Amino acid sequence: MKSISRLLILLLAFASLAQVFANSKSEDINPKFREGNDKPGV
Amino acid sequence: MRVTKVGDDSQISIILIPGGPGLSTSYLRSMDELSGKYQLHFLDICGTNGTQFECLSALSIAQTIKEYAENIESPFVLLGHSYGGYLASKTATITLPEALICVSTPLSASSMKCAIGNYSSKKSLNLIAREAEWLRHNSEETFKSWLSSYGKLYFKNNDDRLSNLILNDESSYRFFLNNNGDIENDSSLLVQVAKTNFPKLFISGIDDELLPLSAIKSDIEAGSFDFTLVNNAGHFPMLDNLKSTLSYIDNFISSITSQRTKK
Repeated sequence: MKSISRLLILLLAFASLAQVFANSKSEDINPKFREGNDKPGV
Repeated sequence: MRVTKVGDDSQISIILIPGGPGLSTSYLRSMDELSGKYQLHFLDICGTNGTQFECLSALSIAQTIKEYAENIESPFVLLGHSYGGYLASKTATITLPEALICVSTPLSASSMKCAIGNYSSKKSLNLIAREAEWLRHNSEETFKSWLSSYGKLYFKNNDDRLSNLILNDESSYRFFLNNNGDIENDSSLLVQVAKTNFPKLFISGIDDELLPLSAIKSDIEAGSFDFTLVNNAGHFPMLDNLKSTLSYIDNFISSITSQRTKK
């Protein structure tokens, strides 16, 4: 029973980690691209 | 980079660089009249006018322009409008032009800050709405829609014809997003420009609400520019008052060439 719990915790940890990577991939935009958003066109 | 040449080979070439960053040379084509006397080279870069977007620093762009300019057989003048004037100045510090002409150009963090302040305090409700669309979703359409809604901040004689020029432009919003911080981050440019020996002219619209004389005065002094104000003109003097703008440019270049002939 104890080993099944540990396995579940490990699985959850891996799932969270995978989610973090998935999110960072969807934000794969050059951060410099965002800099200009507060400036007017000249 | 795409170059559109207008006019025959002549004694002097003028290299024209548009502003934004991200606007194409289309609106500068109002200056085609100068081709009777000079060969005009309109430069489109970083995604404008069908060119491929490249994530380039201002220095890399200046080096590309320098390479092009130094292959022209005749002496050349660098002329840029607004952000394009910044690129022209940057290029001028690494090559040897016959002259440098900046039109309505912020050349320091201080003048850029003034432009940001004027934009924030004077934007119309329509511009605020277009800005919100642009900030919500960056695209070519929202970019052009935003810029074409500047109204009096851009044009003294605000009419649909001028706004439509921008609305129909072959622009590059990626170029804008990638390079809009260039001027603020370039603290040494004016010192380098001041050290150069070629003639330098700064042209500004007397009714420029985005970048008024008070905002650019210290840039003009720090860069050792000659200075001319165009009557009845805003941030785009070549669109508001074409005749006077061309006349100032022609007189300035003619005076340089006549001095050279005398020598």
